[in-house]
Amino acid sequence: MSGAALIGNPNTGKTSLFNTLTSSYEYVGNWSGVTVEKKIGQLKDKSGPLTDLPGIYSLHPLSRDEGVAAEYLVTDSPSLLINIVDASQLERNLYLTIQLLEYGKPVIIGLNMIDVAKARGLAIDTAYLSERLHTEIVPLIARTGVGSKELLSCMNKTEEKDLSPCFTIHYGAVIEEAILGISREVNSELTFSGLSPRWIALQILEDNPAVMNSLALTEATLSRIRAIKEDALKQLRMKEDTSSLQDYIRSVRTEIIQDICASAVDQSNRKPHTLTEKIDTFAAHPVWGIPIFLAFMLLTFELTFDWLGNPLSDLLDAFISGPLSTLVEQGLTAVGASGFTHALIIDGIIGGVGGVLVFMPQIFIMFLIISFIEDSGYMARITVMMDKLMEMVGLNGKALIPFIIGFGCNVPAVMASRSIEQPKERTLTMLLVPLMSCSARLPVYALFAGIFFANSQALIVLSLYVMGIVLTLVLAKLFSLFLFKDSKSFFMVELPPYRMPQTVTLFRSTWEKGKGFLRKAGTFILGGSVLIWLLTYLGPGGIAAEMDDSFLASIGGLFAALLEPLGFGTWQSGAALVTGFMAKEVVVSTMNIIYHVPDMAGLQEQISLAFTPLQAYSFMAFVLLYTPCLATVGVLRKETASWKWTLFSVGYSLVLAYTVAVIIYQGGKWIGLT
Amino acid sequence: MIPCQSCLTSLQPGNSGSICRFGNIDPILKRRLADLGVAEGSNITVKRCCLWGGPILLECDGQLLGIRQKEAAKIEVSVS
Amino acid sequence: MADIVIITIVFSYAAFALYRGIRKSKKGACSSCSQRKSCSAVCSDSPAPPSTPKSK
Repeated sequence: MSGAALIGNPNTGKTSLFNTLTSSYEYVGNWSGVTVEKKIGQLKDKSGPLTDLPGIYSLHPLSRDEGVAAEYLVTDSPSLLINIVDASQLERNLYLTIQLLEYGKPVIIGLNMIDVAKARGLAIDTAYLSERLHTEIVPLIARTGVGSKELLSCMNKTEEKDLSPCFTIHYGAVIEEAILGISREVNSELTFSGLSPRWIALQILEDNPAVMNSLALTEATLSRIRAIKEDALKQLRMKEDTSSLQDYIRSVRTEIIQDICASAVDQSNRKPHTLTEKIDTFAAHPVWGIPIFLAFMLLTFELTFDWLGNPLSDLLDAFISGPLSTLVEQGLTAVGASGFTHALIIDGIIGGVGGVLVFMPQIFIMFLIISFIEDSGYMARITVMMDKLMEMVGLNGKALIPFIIGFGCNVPAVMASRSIEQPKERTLTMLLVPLMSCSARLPVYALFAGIFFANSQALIVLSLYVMGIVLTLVLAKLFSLFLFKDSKSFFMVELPPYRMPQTVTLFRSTWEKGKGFLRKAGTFILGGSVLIWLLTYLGPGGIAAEMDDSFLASIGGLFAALLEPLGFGTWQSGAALVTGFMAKEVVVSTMNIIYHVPDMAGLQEQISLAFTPLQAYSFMAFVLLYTPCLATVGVLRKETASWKWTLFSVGYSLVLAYTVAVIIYQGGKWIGLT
Repeated sequence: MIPCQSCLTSLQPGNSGSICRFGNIDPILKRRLADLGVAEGSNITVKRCCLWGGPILLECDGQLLGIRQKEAAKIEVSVS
Repeated sequence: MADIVIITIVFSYAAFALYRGIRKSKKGACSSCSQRKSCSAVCSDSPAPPSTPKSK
């Protein structure tokens, strides 16, 4: 038994409910396909585990995230299903409900978004619905938590009574006979699976690949099953006009659902989505839609850097390099620490970690804006507006979702590609996600642009983001021309109604994203800083008198000659780039440690001596493009399930970074920039 | 764009019709549409067309969705 | 005395953090996930399931 599971259509609020019921803070958003992996949590009242599953429309999966849910039902056999149903879209949600009722385990229906349904003038007769479906129905507003108590008590009651549903549909003589035949075959082979044989038979009749693969039936049984199916289809064709068993079963179910909805839903006061329509008049305008999106992007960067981020960042810097350093300094002197310890703590840790933490405001503002896009419903509109462009280069409009998430962090972005149906477009999207400039690269830009382009920082940084996007489009075209056989493609996206993100949710998801950054600073970046500092302290001849004699200088020196044509052929740059593979923030840590200076102002002065603006821009472009970080490589390996693609993604990005940086530096010199 | 007499793309934004036949569209797309309740007999409204041949926005029973014009051209509707 | 204590703590913590960070990063996915302790699906060492077969 693996407890209860939340299951339902995409974007119906399963994860919101999961967060309320288990007091966790999983990722929520207003588009289809936020959750791509199952999540397990403990119920608040300690009565057992609860599993959150990716949204599905039916048990028959079309994309990777949907496969997760269908496989879960076969292999994990939950004891209770909580079917979350969007009250404003009852008819299409009930299709999955019927398949879940056939599954044979107790089902509770959580009728979510009753507030939305009410606002749209829909009245739902829950008592009637409950009677027709023979299940408990709990009305909910998952976003605010209304109804979650009732749901919990209902879950406990159902678990005690262990009520299996007695809802069955009669599919007509032909199908019923086939169900019997297949049940018999399946039963003879799987004696203890605990699944309803009728449900398995129906899923087999519908050709559900996830169920059939998870069952792992023998070839002999499969061929007998195939014979039953062919026979059934032949008989069915004599009576009905249908192309496949799948279509026929669907039509029987749809008819019953329509019958139920006709009596359960009172549509007489129905209203259109007024607010959504009004916003879409601007946001999805055929002409103004794209300029509005671009203006929104520019606003994002102005806010992140010039208007809000930099002033806050300066305050934080003043605190770290001022009071904090002095305090630590005094503390170390008080306990009688040696010069080595002083250097280790001040230059190594405060220099390395503090230098990255200073950029926390920019990163958090960026996360806040990304969370707003995710939660408001604008995300799906962007995919629609950009689909044409994406189609031209062999991608899918849906790839925009991973790309936007990638501005926060590339790792979840690679995961988010799961909701793209076509394998070719999915692989292509995953390969290109690393070109999206993630928040870890932000400190590098903030540092360099702050020194060399202080007056137009937001524009310079925006130009790097745009460079990443333009190169993505160019490479997508190249890759789809040369690496992939052209496969069929289609685009379909649901547009959820807009809703104002709740402040609490917004700050919570910003915090959840930002927490990862802070955690990384306290662990990985700290560890890396100590290591790097040690490498600058020690050299081949023992303790290095000058940093130029240190191990880090020899490591960085290996690459210096190679980086010469790019404009930054120093061991310092080489070392920063090598260590940056661990995590791109470490580029900044390394620079801080190398130029060991007390505060940002000092570092800025040092760097402005070592770089020219042109070299700095070339360096930033190189950091943007060269190789995904270690964690992204890890997740790419996992999601593509292929070393070939993983290494390809590292390889192409190195070549690309080198080429682009050479073009920028040499081209810049040629036209007379310095 | 393939000219058509009675397909979705021939509808002006704001007008609606009832789907009478899916032409030769991708079976996976057909499943996806069916998942959203767009099937033969459903009433569908064209909300707006995007510029530069981008996807068109449709509404079916309160659900907004977007599909490419190429595919919309294969869906035949009858205007009542 | 305090010197040795500080140095030992800093170096052992740094080594531990780096070791754990690299191990986590190699697996991908989990380093920034709040459920990484209870989530059996992503963090297990088993390879990702093959992509779901598409219907014909």
